[in-house]
Amino acid sequence: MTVPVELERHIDEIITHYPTKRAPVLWLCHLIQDHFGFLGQEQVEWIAAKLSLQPINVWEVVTFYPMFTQKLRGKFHIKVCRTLSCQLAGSQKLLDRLKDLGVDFTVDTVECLASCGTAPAMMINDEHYDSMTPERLDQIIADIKRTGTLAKEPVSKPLPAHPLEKRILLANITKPGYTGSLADYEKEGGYQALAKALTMKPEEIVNEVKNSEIRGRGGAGFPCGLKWSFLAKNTGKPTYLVCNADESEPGTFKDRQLINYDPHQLIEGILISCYATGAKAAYIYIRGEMPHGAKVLINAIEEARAKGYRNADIYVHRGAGAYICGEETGLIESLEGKRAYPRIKPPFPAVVGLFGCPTVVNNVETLSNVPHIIKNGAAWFKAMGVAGSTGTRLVCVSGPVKRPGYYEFEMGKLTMKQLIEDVCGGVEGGKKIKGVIPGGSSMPVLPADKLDVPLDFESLRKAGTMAGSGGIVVLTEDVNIVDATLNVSQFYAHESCGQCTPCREGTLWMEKMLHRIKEGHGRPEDVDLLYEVADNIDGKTICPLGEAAAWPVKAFLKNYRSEFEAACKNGGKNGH
Amino acid sequence: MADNIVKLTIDGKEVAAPKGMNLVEAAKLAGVEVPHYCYHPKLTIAGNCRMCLVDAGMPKLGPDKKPEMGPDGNPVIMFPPKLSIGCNTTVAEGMVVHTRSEKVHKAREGVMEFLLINHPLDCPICDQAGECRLQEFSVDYGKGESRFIEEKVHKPKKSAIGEKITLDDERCILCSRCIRFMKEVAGQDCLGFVNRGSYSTLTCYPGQEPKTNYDLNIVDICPVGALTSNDFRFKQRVWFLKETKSVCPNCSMGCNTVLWSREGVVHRQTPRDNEAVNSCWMCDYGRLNFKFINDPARITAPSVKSAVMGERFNLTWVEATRQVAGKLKAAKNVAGIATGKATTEELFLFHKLLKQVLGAELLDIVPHTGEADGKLLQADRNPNTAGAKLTGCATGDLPKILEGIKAGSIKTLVVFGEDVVEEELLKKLELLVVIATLPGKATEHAHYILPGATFAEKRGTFINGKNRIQRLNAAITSPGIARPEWQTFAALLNELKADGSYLAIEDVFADMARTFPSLAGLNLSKIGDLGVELKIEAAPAAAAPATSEVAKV
Amino acid sequence: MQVQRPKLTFLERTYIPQILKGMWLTIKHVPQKKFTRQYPEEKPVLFGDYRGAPTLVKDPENRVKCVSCQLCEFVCPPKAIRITPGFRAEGAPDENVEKEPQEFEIDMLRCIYCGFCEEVCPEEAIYLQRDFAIAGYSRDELKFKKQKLLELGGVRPDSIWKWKYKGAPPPGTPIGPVRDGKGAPVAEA
Repeated sequence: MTVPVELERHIDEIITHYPTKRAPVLWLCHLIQDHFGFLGQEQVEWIAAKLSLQPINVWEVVTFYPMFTQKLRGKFHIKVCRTLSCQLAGSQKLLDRLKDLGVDFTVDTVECLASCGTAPAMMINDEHYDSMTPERLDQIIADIKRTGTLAKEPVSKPLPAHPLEKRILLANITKPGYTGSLADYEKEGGYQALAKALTMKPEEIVNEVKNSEIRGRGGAGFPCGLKWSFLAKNTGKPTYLVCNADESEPGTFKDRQLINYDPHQLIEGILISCYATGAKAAYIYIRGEMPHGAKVLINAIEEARAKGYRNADIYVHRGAGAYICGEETGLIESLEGKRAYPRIKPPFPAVVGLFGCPTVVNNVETLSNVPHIIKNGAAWFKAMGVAGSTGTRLVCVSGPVKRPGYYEFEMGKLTMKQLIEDVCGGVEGGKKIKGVIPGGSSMPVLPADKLDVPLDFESLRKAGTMAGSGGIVVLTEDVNIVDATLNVSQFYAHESCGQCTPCREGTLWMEKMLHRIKEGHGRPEDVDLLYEVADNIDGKTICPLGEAAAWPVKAFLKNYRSEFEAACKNGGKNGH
Repeated sequence: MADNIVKLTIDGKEVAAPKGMNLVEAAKLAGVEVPHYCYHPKLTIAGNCRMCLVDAGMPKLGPDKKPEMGPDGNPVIMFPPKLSIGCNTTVAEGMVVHTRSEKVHKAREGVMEFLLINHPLDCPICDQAGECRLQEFSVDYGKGESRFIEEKVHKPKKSAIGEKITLDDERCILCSRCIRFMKEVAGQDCLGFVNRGSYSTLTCYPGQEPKTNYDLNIVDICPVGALTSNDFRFKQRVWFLKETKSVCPNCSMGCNTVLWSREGVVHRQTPRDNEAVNSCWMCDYGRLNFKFINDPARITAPSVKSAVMGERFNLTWVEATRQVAGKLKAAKNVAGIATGKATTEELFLFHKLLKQVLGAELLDIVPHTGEADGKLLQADRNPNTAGAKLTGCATGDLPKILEGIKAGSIKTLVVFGEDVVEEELLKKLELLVVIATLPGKATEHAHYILPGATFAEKRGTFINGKNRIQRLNAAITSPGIARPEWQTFAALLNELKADGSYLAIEDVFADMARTFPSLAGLNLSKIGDLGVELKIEAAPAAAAPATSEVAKV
Repeated sequence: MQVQRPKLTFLERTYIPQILKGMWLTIKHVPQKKFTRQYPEEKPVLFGDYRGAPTLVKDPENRVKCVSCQLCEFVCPPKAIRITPGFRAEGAPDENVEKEPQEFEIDMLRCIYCGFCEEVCPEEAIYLQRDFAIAGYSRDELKFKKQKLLELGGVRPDSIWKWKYKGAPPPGTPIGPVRDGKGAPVAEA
């Protein structure tokens, strides 16, 4: 096999982004696969030789990440999202059309493409398609067959603001004609916060962020300033900042917008955070299914560098289809070029993180907030929202509501009911709501009678669930809960990294059991068994994926037990 | 209280443990077993099996950073909502650990069930049966029957991991011990997991199979029957095997071993923990080199070669001792060749017999060397060179002996445990007495053959390259009427009216302890299972060929 | 200890009454119904759980069921069983079983027909048949080897299909009675 000089030069450049020889493995796999179409033994050995690794090191990675393939795929790789929101919106209908397309096409289902508000979503090679209908799909396939090439799919337009929203992070993109370019961003006052920050002492910035009481927007809601202050100091090692852009929690699609439409806001946030934490290098870990976002970021970083905003080096690192990379230590392992096995803690990343150095990992939305906090001050930020949940929050609504999409609100100022009824225009066809998943599919479902809860960290916790990643999925009365639970369980069984016993074995067991129940082979004892299996996973694993897999199942069982019992009794038919 | 000691309570028992110790080890101090699969004291911590979950709480600190006291006068203990894994939780002052509470038990039952759902019911054909951690802990934490009625995940079975090992992926519980061992100890990063989730599969890259001298250790550390040794495959069920503590006779490291035998047949050799010698590993060269014990060609009885016809006649021991003693007494110009694979006791008696009784001038052992690998395997392949030096058997005179035979100045040769020299030399000898276990060139020409015993058949001691005296135990009996050589030498000494006091091996050792100051005060029981380091003044270690650093294992 | 001899009367010392008594007991039976069985012409009635010679059975596909796990060898109280484990032939249709006995020996002179072997067998490969008349001309002849044990055991049409179907037998599998070595079903007494 021969690697073109041009490509090898690109690879050599990528290798310089990382201090260890193993870390560029994922990038190399992407580049080599893009060129050859697959990663066979020859390709694996070439990469291993290039990075002076053992072939097993590369092979382990290739087989872990679903985006990599060991067999040649068709020229057009169609990936249809099968996760909950897309399933509710009819992704199965798309799949049904994608039969017998010929050797040029390979059809796969993928886990959440982070486009739930415009479901069903799919990708063909690097092109992303929103709001698909079977008719449109037929058209696209017909076009490909006619022309033999794939037409570029334009990125959809940003959504206009709703009067009840308070747009801070989304303020720029709402403005007419805003392109997200450096010039546009600077016109809106961009990079002034960075200039201000560079006049302050790093500790002052950390304090400012601490005082703003901003909590992490990735899912766990850990106070950001506190996280920064845990960073080990005077270790003699460099500090790293990692931006977690591996948005893959089903129901969540906010980071995609922040990256696609306003990348400089994020880059400014990263540069300020780097200055505050003393990091000289930052990595943006963007999920592999967002090739457009990666390009946007690489361009924006180039633009910013050229303009002199360069107090730290920022590199883009592409994932390759593993939800577990959203967990911060899994992400760090993946960044180091390994299988994304979350690490046991202690030590925490703030002490021993990326490449063994102190590392802080923050979500895209969290970092995008930083310029605003620095520009306007902690007091301004704290004035928004409620105690314990300061600032604004991006929420993503999907499911059968009239106006699904992403919205920015002051936290705690709006209830779930208001959001669905007033902002999203209520449920389509006037159906009744059965329940709402409030923060991505891993959070326990809120039953219909608890929808008066305000949208902030504490209130949701008191309601027995969590704010999570802000991905809200509305389930209506016609949703078969057994099917929905199966869909969610399938996601976690697919995404379990396989490290810890309970999650590795339990998630697949739950999936198989739910599948059997759905097929009408449920036994009455399966309802309790399912709950017990979920309970045996809960809290027994290294990373929170165990809980993420167990909580929704437990919550569905608790709130809709009769549906499961019926499914186990009368042959899987739910009585609708 | 010393600075590096912390006090904690495990299952109500107060334990003082060194700082940094994990709870699995600390629980051992309290006499509590914390079940585990992935944790291995000599490897990095993976924390993935989740079997060692314990409930570990810390005293609640008041605003003054001092433990808050409860109404009963004891500190209030705060338990985290989640259980902790014992292997990655270190001891802390005032910590309270529950390892047998209902919560812990239930968690372990859950983990156990998960481990078993995709595990095949291979126990009847699995070599690990009987020493399988999965079997052992399912007695404690298993349900007894399966609630799993779905199709199991199928993975490759019976695949080769190099030439020495067979891998059954369905049995694998993905603890990653083998991966960590190969990377961290054996130094060949060749094993890994492919695929994801429940489909994760242990494998090695095609063409990059393990090929170090330490591969078979992964069979030992595999807690289940996923990795099995081809050498031991389907030989015997382990519950039939008798375990005898022994020492590997293949190099001067003297790795501590266990011999597994049944009815006179040694089926396998595995390493035994000894921090001072081999940690818990041994090399494959040593491990597999024991087949000579049950070689069908073993010499089973003393014999004499007829002077007239050249035929061999078997003798009884009484007769053989009488004849050999008689011939030796009459012989002049005696020399002896001994072996560094013999026990110290045997070398001591051999030296006494030849030098003091028969007046031999020349006596030496045959050096055996190979390449040291920088880990356990040493260049000196004799297990007891130091013992030979101590007893005066290792003199470096071997070339002189050969010259003497050639020149005719040596007419009588006693060869003990080695197969030596060119036939031309052997033919020149007037009397050749060979003490051996297996036939060879020397026995072919010998006038008298006296059968010996292998290391597995006798008691005695080896002194390793670092002057550590270690004890052998008899695992099996010798074939036929063959017997340990010390008995033969003692009988000859007795017959020659030189010394009749050696009735048991202990008597020989006692005489050695009187003779050599470095052994003063020692006896076989005091040496124990782990051996004793000797202070030998002219340290043989310095003279021993290229003793390399023991790997930090 | 000193045992006192009972003191015998004169009559007792003549032994005549004792002899007469014994003869009366024998003669008494002459007119009564005979209960001696005319073996071997007349076979005894064997009951349902009668335990005769242990044998090795094959599954309905004529495969050796024994995988030489050696549990019977372990459990056998008189140590009558001796197994030499071996490999199942490479490339055989049932290669996945991996293991089978190279040699299997039951010393029928030692066997006490306790049935532990049958009870312990995880593969249900060893069954006690109903043969009780085991005879031979030498001790060696009574050490039954694998070949002979399999011949005596025959095929057992039962529900254990572990190595083929991983659990359940295919629907409609006949589950018949135990057969002896000659292939004829043994009538239950």
